[in-house]
Amino acid sequence: MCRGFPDVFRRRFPPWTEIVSVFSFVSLLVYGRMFFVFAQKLPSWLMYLSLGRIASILSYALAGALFESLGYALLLALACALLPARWFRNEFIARSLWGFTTWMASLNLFFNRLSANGLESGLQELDLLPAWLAVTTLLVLAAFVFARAGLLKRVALWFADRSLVFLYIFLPASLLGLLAVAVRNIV
Amino acid sequence: MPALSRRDILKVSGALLGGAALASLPLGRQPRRAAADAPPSFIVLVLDSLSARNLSLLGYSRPTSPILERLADQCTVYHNHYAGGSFTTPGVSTLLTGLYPWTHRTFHLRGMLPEAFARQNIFAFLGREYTRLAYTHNQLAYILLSQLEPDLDLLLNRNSFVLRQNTPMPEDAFTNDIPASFLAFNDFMHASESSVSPASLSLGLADMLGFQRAQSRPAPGYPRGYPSNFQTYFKIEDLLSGLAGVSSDVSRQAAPFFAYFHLLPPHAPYNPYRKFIDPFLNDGLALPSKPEHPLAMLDKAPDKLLRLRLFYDAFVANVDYEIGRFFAALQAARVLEHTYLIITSDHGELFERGEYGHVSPLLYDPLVHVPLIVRAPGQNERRDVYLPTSNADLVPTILSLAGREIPPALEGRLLPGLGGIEDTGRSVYTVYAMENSAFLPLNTSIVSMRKDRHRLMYYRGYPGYNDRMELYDLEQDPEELRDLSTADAPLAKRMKEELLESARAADAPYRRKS
Repeated sequence: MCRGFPDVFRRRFPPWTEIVSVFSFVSLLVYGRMFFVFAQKLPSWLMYLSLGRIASILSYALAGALFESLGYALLLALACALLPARWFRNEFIARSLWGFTTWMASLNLFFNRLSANGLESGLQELDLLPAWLAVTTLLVLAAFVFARAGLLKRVALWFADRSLVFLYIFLPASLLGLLAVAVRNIV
Repeated sequence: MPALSRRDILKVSGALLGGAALASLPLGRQPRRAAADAPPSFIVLVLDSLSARNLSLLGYSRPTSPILERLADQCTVYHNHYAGGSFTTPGVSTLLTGLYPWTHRTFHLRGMLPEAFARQNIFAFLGREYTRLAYTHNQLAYILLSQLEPDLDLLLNRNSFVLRQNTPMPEDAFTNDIPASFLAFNDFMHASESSVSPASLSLGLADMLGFQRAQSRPAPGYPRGYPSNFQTYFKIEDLLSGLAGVSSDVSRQAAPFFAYFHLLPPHAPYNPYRKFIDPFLNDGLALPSKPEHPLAMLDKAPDKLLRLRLFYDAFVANVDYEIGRFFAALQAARVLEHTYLIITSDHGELFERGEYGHVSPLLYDPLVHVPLIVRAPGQNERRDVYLPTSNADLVPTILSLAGREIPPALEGRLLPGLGGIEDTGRSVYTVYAMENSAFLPLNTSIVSMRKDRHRLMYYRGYPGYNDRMELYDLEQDPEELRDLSTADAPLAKRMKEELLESARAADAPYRRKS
């Protein structure tokens, strides 16, 4: 049984290269959101924080974004291993990309709505959360279903291929961030 | 044997957190018998957002503070005491450094003390002869206290004495780097009480789910839910009984102590205990109508402001009741035999001119006028001080009472009644400069100056409201309805010149840089 495990593992999980492609796309959206909010916050931070302090915040954020991206990629790979191959594994890149894009877009819209009129009224709108989760789940499922359609699949593969290059920026930056966090907390 | 309820378990957990921290201090078993010439101890209790204008102790027509009125019979009551800033960060920084915000430069919501001032604080000035401890569950105050941790013997965990959290806060894991990790997680990656635009959408979603779950849980005894600060939930009684226990424990040691306790109530949300839910409903409180201010940020209708004030006053009454219990607990433990108890606030709260809350440029009296009540060891008579005083005065006054040298750079003075002189010509300031860089001279700011019976507000740098003044005679016009800046132009001009002279002096280091 133990000898057979790696084979089962290989058979159920998507190929390594596809996981990396999905990870790179997931990273693009996660880091993209992080950098977007960073750019929004930067002008106010410059009013009262030193550059060193801002760099230390960025270190934590880069490390956090790495773990968040890894978490999402792992979740997708695990889902792929658990679901029948024809549901997910055979179209792993296309379905992961469209599913994840739908999830992130919906989350973005949700937080935009919450923050539109300030925290006070935003929190009152939290009653919408269960309904939003239900609608988002349906949308993600729809994205999964339609992702194998010709054009959508081609677009997904194109993005997956091109987002790989960003890993050359994100990974070293995150490793530096992790190092900075470790040093700040150990020294 | 009765089963332990969840509340019992939470109380025990809170006590254990505090107790574990206190175990690191060398505590004796008997109450300290202080020598006659031994320096006194101090407890500074800061109640966030408590406006002097909403306390019946200081003349408010609603009976919001019957307990404080009774306690005042053995205290010194300051009737014209002012905060350094109009929200937590500048207000607390002034309390802890004895400097005005234009000097300590911590005047942004998530601002931090510059390195040059971080080591010049009350804890450092008192020195190692004192056991110096602090507690707050206010996140903005906590980040400032964490900066001062090298000068503290004990910074109690901010989750001590609270009921629960919405979601685990990652910055609590990075205890060696609290300020940076706090800013990274709390102000950036997570959703927080001041931002619902998290950099990490997953963490933000977890926050929202946690918040919603917490809101939907029953809160026995609290019809509007437990008091909270978005991420943690607490009861005032648990906080104050926990802190009374801490004070009692630390007072047993040989060394004198200085304790800074900063509690959120009566900060919003105004969620009082059942008994205080609507004590002032339909009480016919008559308030003058005030015009909306052009710089009001929230644009609230008068009826909404009246309703918010009703909730706030009820919460103030709840806080007042719990202060009475705190005082009784300290007396029972004989802590007050050798300890000064100082009760104040970091800023007030505003419900007028279209504005609500406190992160506001409208430095009207309810926002900047805060209570100061001091009970000296053994004091059994009431004293009233009507001269203008400032929260910047606490540091030099405490240092003087502790027999310490007062650093000449401090902007505060000794409080009258506690060693200070009665100077009727003295001016005290409150500074709002959230739109101004902390590293540049103050070009966009609002400064309130209280001198004798008058208060001047000077606005500069605001488009359409630049170089504007408002002047009020608070004795004749406590509601600040008649602006005297034109009618008494010579006085307004004199006060403005004095204000600008002080501001220029504080700006000098930054003018050279720029």
